[in-house]
Amino acid sequence: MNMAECRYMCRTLAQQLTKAWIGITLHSSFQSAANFSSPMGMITVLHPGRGLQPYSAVLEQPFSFEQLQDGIWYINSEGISGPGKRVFSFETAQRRNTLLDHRPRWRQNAGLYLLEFLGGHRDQGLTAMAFGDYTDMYQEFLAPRIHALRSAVRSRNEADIVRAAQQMAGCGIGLTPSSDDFLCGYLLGMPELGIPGLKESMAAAAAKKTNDISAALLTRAGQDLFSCDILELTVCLELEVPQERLWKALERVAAFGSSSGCDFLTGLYAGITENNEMEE
Amino acid sequence: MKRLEVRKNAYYDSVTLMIISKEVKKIDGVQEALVGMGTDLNRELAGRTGLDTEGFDTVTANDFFVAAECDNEDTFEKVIAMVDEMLNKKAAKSKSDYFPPTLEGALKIDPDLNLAIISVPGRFAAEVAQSCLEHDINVMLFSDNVTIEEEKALKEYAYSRELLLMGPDCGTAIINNTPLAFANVVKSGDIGLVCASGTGAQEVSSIIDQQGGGISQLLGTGGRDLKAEIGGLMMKLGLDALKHDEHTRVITLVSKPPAPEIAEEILKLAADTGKPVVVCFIGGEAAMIEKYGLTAAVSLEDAAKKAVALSKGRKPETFVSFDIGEEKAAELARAESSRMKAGQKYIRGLYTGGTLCDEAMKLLIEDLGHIYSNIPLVPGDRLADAKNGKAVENTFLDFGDDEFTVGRPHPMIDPSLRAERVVTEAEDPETAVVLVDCVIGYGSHEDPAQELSEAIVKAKELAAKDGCYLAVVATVCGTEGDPQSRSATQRKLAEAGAVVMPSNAQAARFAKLVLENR
Repeated sequence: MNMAECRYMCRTLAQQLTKAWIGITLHSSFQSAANFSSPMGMITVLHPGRGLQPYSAVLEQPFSFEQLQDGIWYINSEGISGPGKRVFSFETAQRRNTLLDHRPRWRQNAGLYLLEFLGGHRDQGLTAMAFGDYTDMYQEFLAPRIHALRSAVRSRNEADIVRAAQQMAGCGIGLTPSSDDFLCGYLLGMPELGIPGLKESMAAAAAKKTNDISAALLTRAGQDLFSCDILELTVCLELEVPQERLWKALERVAAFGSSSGCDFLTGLYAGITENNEMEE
Repeated sequence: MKRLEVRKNAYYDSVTLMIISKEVKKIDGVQEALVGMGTDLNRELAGRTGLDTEGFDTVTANDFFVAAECDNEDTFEKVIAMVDEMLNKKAAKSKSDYFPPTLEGALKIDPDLNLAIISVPGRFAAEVAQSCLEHDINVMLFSDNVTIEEEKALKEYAYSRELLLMGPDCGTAIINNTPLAFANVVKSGDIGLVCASGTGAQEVSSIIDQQGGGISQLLGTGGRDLKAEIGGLMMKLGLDALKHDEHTRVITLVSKPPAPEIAEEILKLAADTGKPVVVCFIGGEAAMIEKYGLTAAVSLEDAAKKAVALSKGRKPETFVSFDIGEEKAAELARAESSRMKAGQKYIRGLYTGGTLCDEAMKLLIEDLGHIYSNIPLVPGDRLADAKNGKAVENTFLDFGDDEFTVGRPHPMIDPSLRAERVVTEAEDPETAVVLVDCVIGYGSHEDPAQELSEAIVKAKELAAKDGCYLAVVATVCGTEGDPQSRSATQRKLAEAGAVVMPSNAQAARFAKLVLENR
């Protein structure tokens, strides 16, 4: 197995690593990604061309993740090593920000742009729900739970909000169930209610009700950590950027997983709508 | 019976899970099925759908499960076998069953993709095409409204990486026997085409098929490729590809006459392929082509017939006649014109295929003097308002041109506007001949002859009320193998009273013959 250089890595992850080795285990591997369990949470190595996620690194060259062996691995600021050999190198990786360091102030019509885009993807995941339609059993099953979450947010009741987030987690076919992706989007878009640590609590509660991989994404979203593609989309929905840039950003997010991207955007749309309605 | 299969701590990507979920339900004997990770909510949902069964209480959020209600044990075994098969070859399976919304998504399920068909609004098309090229993906750019500057940049980049950038506005291609977009069902064979025109490519490839020949590859370049600004980059690359393609023995090039300096370059390259090359620069001079030892064609039909002759080892001969023979054609033309009233003297060409319209005008311009059009041969013959204005003397309209397609599909998909115009032209007592095409094949309307034949009947009745006789001359571009069937389409038009000619060139010549008898 030759050593693979990483092209990008999450700056937050890089800041946590030193020369000291930390033991990690291979959690799962796919055609285009591998996940490692670590004391810092899930760490992901991604195929070239994939968008950088929180606590992840993107490779310079294609790599066959299926060849990775179970067992103890180690990570430090220089890379990830298997028994006696470094497999992924961070040395030349460009550090990129995955932290949303401010409260988003959505531009006027941000919700409408999202809705227009989602209109072209109505058959994907939960998208139909943005239009008030329930076209499959998952949507029907989730509808009252999403309603409960949104009602709780409008009533600013912390306990109800956290409970509602937990009660909607882990529903859907995919590896990251649709409701989790929705919730990640909602966490980004939802209004600031002035309740300290609310998003983190919501994410932590929901993470308990889903699988490890989805839980990792929820946990990061609760810490305002999002993929670079989502941060770019956030910029595009805050500032008056050219339409082409906004559309490209939407398309990149929509490409996540099977329907994960569209589920995220549906949740984001719900969150932004909440924002608008509560401001009124 | 309800059954449950659990894979502990097993993670599969979402695309695979989604496909499995759809496919399991299609198996005969499966009443209901649920696939997913064993989270509380998914298990609750399974309960609500009546799929909770023994063992469900031990499933965790990190387990993959398949729950199904089946007729019997054998059916469930089929379910599990199918799930295993899909998990083992998930990438191959996902190609046909999953429609990723973006390029990134597509590459995720198949990193080896090497051809993309792009059909997005023009303002986004160049960026999407560039992105494909950067991923080493050949491009068929169906979109129009791409600027010539964007086209130049894309093609220079593609050329530097030896990638095809077919387009923009490229509607027809056949790659390794797979028809793309508007293409016809043609036999596989040894004739390779590089075409800078959509319906021109369809006409040539269809006639090759009718003549017993076959196609190895049909590469489109987009209509502007041979302009000086672009330099014929894709025609050059296409020629090179066909030169090295072992299945191609004869090459055929189709285009409007290129810029002279580009023509010289292309012809030299064509001569250097070492293979017989037929060149149809529609309406162009033959001498320049023949100077390079290549075979010049005088029409799209002539190009097809010459290519087939070369493919079969025969000497190519120029065809400017009629399949039914000159005499028979003249007799038929006399019969048509003899029924007309004095004052009926003009041809109205109403086309859905732009190249077919252009070819007909070029074949007739010498005899007619002026042909007024929305795609005129000379600027002075441009119609001020082709869509809403009346026809002027000999008028030829391309209904696929922008002014007719704003806010509506191309006339090959929605032939209604052209059909209406057939009736409109019948109201003009000066109309002698209505000349129409009917393009069939993949992408076209499922029965374009239906609406057209109804319009022909109505138009003829309308003309007859005024004591006129309206001649309608039609041609069907397509093959017997096309979903609409060439012969069925021809029959429908003939039954409506049209004279159906076997090619666009013959239809144009026949229309002229009818007029000559006036």
